[in-house]
Amino acid sequence: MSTPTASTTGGTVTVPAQRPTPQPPPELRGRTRVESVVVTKIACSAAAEIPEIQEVYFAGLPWTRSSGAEVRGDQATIRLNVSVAYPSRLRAVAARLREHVIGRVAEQTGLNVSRLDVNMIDLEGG
Amino acid sequence: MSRKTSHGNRWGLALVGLVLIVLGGGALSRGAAAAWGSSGTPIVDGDVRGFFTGASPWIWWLVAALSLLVALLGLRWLFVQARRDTTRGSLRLERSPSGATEVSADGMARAVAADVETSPAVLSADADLAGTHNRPEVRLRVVADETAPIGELSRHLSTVALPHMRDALERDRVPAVARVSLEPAPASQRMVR
Repeated sequence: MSTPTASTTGGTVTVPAQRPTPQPPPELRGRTRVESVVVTKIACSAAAEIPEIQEVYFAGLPWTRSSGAEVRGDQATIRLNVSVAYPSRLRAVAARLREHVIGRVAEQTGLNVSRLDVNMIDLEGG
Repeated sequence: MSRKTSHGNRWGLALVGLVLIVLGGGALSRGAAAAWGSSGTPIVDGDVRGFFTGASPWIWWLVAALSLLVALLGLRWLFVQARRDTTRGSLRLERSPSGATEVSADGMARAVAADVETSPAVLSADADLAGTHNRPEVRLRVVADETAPIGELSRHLSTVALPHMRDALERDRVPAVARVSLEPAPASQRMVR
């Protein structure tokens, strides 16, 4: 067993150069957090891609809660206020909307959407 | 006003009417008797005065409590007039761990009314949703052109507007009540036949 020895010459102490500490791989450096505002925007723009969805409202009616998302760890819950074309099968539209938005949020942020509430505040057309 | 309220109103009014008839009849017979001179005795005679002084003071507490009860019943009767059958807020379509779907009752009613208005026989329409989440109902108020064939209106309701609503809610049955009033059409909307 060799212990590093400090050689003393003329009052100065020379220590062996320290090995640089190995850095973690780049993908593990730092922490990425997706803010709920970002999730809300992704969800709203994904929702607007469904043909039956006429409009996605960020703010709801004055007495209801607005569209939004809440991120906890890798889980997100989303609430969307939308206007749907009438006549259309509302539950089928909601199911398609849910599938599309959940897929899009997972694809873009890696978050798992555990709950997506759909509030149809208006029906348009006829 | 809900059906329950109008039912209560009928009973309440009947009861009040009965009480007033009894009191009025009593006063009338008393007055008639006094007018023909057969009875000149005062209503509050010695017996009545004796009863009240004998039962004093608790009788006055009883009178106060009864008055308060009548006043509270009256207030409640007043407030139930605002009770409505129609659905306010949202109609829940589904609820599962992965999320709830709700549709605004007002939005739905507006859409149904707009759908009814697409018929040329209809001048204007208004709708309200009623019932529960599991059994939604719709109440329609339709103003129809008095010169239009009424069959056209019922055909439009039964083949267009109501099937659309049943489709939207994915239900086999959505009870509907339509109240139709006929009005002359404004000259610009008159149907040419």
